[in-house]
Amino acid sequence: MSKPPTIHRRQFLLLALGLAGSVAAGSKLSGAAEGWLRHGNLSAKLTALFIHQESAQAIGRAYLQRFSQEADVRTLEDRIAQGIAGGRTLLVATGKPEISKLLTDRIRQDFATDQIVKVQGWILSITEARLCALAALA
Amino acid sequence: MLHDARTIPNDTVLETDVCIIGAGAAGITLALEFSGQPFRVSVLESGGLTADTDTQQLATGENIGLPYYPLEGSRLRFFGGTTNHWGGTCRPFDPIDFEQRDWIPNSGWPITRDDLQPYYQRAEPICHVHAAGAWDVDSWVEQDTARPFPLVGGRMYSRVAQIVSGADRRFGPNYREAIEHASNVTAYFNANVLEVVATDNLKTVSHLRVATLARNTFSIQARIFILAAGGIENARLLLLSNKQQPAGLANQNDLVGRFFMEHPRFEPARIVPSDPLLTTRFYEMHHVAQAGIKGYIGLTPETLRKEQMTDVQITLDPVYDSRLADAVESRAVQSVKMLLRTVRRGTKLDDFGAHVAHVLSDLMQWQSRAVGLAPVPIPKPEVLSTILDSSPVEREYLIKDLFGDVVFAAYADFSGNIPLDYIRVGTRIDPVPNPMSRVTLGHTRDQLGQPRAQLNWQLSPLDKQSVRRTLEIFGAELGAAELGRLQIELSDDDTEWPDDTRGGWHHMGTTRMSDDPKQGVVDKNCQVHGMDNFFIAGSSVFPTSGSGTPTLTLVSLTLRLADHIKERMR
Repeated sequence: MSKPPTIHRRQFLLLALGLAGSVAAGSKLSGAAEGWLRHGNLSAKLTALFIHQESAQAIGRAYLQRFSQEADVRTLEDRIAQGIAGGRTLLVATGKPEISKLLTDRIRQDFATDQIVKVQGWILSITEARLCALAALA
Repeated sequence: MLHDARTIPNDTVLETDVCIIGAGAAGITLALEFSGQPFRVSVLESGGLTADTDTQQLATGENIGLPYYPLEGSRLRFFGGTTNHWGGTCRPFDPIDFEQRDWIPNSGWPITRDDLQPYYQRAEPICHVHAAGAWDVDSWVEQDTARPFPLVGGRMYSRVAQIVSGADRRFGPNYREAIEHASNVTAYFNANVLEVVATDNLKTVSHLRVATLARNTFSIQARIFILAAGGIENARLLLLSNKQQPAGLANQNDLVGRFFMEHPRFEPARIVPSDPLLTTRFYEMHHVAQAGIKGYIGLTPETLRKEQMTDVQITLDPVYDSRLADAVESRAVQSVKMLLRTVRRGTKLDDFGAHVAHVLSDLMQWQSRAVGLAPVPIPKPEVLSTILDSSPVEREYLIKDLFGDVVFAAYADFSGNIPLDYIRVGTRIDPVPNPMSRVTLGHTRDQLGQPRAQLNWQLSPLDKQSVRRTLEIFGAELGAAELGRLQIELSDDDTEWPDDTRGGWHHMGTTRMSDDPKQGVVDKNCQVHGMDNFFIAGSSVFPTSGSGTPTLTLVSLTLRLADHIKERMR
């Protein structure tokens, strides 16, 4: 089995920026695009939050090396949605800035309640690791 | 009075009332406390007032355990002892450090933190602690512009140590005059104790055999003897005193030399901050109202109990982006600063053109994003728009990408913070007392023909498990506070230690304290079990090594012992 790619600290920094930036920047999409994202493919919606897709994918691949049983889009979507009040239904119906806030709140809560996972030594929220895993499967 | 033992005639028998072996932090504290008392005091110090190579070689030893400093480098044999290279960090032990904890074998002191509290207060001026009693963050928060991390999880909190300034750390120079002028105290220099000789029933020390490197030998008799030669030497001297008790004096239960403890430290993690302008200044040595303080992060007592761990403290060291650190010093950055100052003042410099050339040469990478054929690089409108629409964090990196390291460095400099690359995380452990970690007699001999000390420093799996779990908790706390992400770089093998594992020159535990003679060498008054006139002072009596640094606590304990002796001598 090949070794998972080493996650360098810069990738994590960019990931952290990606999630933070997506909350701060807000949505500047056209009305049609906004409508698609509001009611479209959940996985695409969740992973579109990452500014630096390559970083998210690298982390996601490393996560799935450890948790191969979650290497399924629907499974990951469901597990991410389980941690959000309103669940999948809410996530499907919600637009980009609101989803960002829901996810960052969930990530913060994960850390506060020790819902953490170690990926190549990095302490991550289980939700952020699963979001990266979704990006890796995209 | 100060006296050179090399001038004492062979076979002289000196007489005194209280004889102190060693003039380090403990020995000097005792001498100061006994100064002016109605009894005679003699202090025997191996070295002189300053270091000399021959005497220092007596401290050479063997090391057969975990990698450790050369023993002659980690302890000093001249007046002032190891305070001559003390780093000055002061922090009292916490109440939990004195408790017996079921998950930590051999933990528990026969005294409590409260028992020692009055002595901590007396020890602070002796150690030159600047701000008496100011041991928690709340004592500093109003005055300190540096701020601790806003951790929110409740499992960890920021702590403070005070750092004594350079010259104040040296007990020798600081207290020489007081000891020299104490009429009831005589300090003998260049005096090396070879053996502690007891009466036939082993209940009383009758005298010490002493020799100098000039080869004269003499003995000293006293009513009370106090061994204060340091955590390794205290054990060595007892083991050397083996003519009457083959295992060594006071070693009937095979405890002398065992439970050697250090404060192991290494750097097993790093943090990538969410904001590269996050400041770690609170956790770096800094001054607040003339007091040197340094923050660190520790686990709450409740967390230690819940997780059943030993205490691990976290230190933080910033690592700045080296490209930016270099760029700050670059000619181009200096030029940018001068250009801006010039523009603000509206005046011109004679070498104005040279400054423009420097900036342009560094900023040539603007060309792909700049308006063509402009005499100076002007960013395209959409580039400027992207920067303006970005979050403050993104803006930092977009500026760097677009305008190069030079302008980013200037921006950071003007904004008052240098961006971090990452934060290096250090850990320092209060180790589990381990009977296999020990000082014994080695196979080589010193210049006086005495077996040298042999150190076999060992740690326990719970020590490493505690580091790992502490870092996991810290990573979670950082995430919950949105401060960043932490990476642990530590193997899963709990018997294997990182290559950068080192101690702090803290030698503790080798003549540990317990009310049960089967568990300790001395009792709660530091009196050797089974002997009526023999005491031990210093960190060798610590049953556990505590979360704080040893000097303040050993001086406090020594003050408590001094009061006990004064009462005895009444």
